[in-house]
Amino acid sequence: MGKPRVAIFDFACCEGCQLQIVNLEEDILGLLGLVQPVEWREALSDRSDEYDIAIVEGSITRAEDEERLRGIRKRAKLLIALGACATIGGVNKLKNACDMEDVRRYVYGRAAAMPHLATEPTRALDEVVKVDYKIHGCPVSRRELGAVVRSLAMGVEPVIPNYPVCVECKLRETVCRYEYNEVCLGVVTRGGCNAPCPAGGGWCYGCRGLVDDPNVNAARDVMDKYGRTPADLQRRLALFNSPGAVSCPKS
Amino acid sequence: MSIGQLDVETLCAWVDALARAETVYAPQARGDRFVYDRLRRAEDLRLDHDVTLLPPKKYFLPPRERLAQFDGTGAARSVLDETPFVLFGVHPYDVAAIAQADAYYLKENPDAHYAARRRGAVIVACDVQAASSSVFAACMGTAVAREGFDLLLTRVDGAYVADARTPAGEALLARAGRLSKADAVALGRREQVWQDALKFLRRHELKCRPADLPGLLTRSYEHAAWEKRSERCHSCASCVLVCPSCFCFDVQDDTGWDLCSGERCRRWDACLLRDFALVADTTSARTAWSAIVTASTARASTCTTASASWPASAADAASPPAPRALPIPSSSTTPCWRTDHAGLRLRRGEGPLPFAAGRPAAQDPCHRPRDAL
Ligand code: SF4
Ligand code: SF4
Repeated sequence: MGKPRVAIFDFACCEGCQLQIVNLEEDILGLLGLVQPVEWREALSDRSDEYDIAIVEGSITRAEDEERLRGIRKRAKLLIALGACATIGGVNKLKNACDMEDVRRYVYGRAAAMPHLATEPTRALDEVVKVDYKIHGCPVSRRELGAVVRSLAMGVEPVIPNYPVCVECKLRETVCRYEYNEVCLGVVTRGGCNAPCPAGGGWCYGCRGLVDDPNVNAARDVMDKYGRTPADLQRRLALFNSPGAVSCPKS
Repeated sequence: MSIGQLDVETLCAWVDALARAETVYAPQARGDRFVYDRLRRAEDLRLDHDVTLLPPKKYFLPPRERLAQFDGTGAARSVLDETPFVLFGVHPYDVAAIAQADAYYLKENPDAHYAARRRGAVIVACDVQAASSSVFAACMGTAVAREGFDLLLTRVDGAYVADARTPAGEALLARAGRLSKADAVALGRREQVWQDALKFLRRHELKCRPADLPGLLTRSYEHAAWEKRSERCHSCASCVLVCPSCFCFDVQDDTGWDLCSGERCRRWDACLLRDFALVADTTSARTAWSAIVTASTARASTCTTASASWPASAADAASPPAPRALPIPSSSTTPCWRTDHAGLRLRRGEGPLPFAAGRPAAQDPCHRPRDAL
């Protein structure tokens, strides 16, 4: 049996998650022992339409992206969303609160009218096609990326954590940022990153997206307890977890 | 077993010697809180700690630990950590919690990994000198430790009464060298410390006897209190993870790129995490349980509308014997225990002992998350 053929694609993003794959360093040999990359813009000059697994980073912001992603989905047996832009829309969704014409003019100035810049409200991959697995984070962690690939290669369901970042703060004995009068999104954000941001003295920006079923009532209580309002949370949530395209004004 | 008295000079010299020769874990300041950490010198020791971020269970059941290693040939071996260590300055309620964990991990299904660590541990307990603002040990009967430790230190009048209860404690204490006899006055003062602890280490009142708790809980599975609590629960499991006596874990394999070699790891898990309660068909066990309760309630009563939620109150689920109300501890107005036992910070060679508040000062030199990023 040959190695599964893997193609790596990028949409609207900084391509930092794809770079994390390049940055696997010596682990890259392990990866190449398991899969055969057939398309990977940052590391290969080859291209191919024949692949089993598609790893896709970036979010969907134009009609032509949507079409391309549907094509990828059709060809791939397995589609993995890589990184916050792909899994939740991430920072790209910030623009969803604005008028698309304004966004276009503001960003591209005189070039705004060019057809390939016809930007639409941002969507995460699973708002367009079926996504089989999500590797969260901005950027993704190399450790988690490796673990997911190895699990899939063994035919084992990869373990994608579904607990809040707070769990990892406890495990590494980080004092909660709320105790220092700060607002942190860790209570509603999916863990798995080992809570580096609160441990470093910052707060969680929510880059791994929300846990399934965050308890909104509880969030309100925490806000009350620390003299904050849910709006304080929402403002911060906007960075990585802005609302989906559906609820936003179309240009 | 012997009881002696240590002045602070001797205590410091002893602790310094122990820290040099042994692996000693003890409460120390980190930022403006306390943590158990590897002790390098006596002056870092904070016997005046109020409460630590994580309880000492982390030394018997580490947040993450390797259970086994397997190589590419299919051979596997258990990983047992048998490094002996001294756990120094453990509060009585944490001593009680360790005994509780021993019951789970050593009795019916002994856990080799826990047992290996536990075998190598010498526990030096220390009576509480500064109380946590939410302490409730006295109403649980754990404000004073009667057993479960090797050596007990109690601060009386600027010195320490050291009470060895096991051969290991005895051997450890013998290394302190000059040990003066604890006289009747010192022992009387120690008794007073215990009486005070029993009286004051209760920021919250329990409205029943601790021995009644298991029975009350068993009878209160369907009590409305759970529903009410769950509305305000983040499912962040913080309460469970910092709890000195909660002990659930998850085991997962981390396999290498050859898909053969790797290691089996155990990590703390918690019943309040959503995925912990998932059952085979990916419904949450809690939802399933809730559905069962609802269904059986509907059967038991004449109610015909199947409700999707839990019974509104235990009274609605009435099938005798009716569960007794679960007492929810409310914060009482009992003032926090800040008496003349307010802590001291051990410093070598200083005359009168400086008193510290319950918390380390923010400008403490280690006010920097040590393992940042
Ligand atoms: S700092 Fe943030 S992630 Fe950590 S415990 Fe507090 S809320 Fe949770
Ligand atoms: S702590 Fe929050 S922002 Fe930081 S890496 Fe984790 S999920 Fe992302």
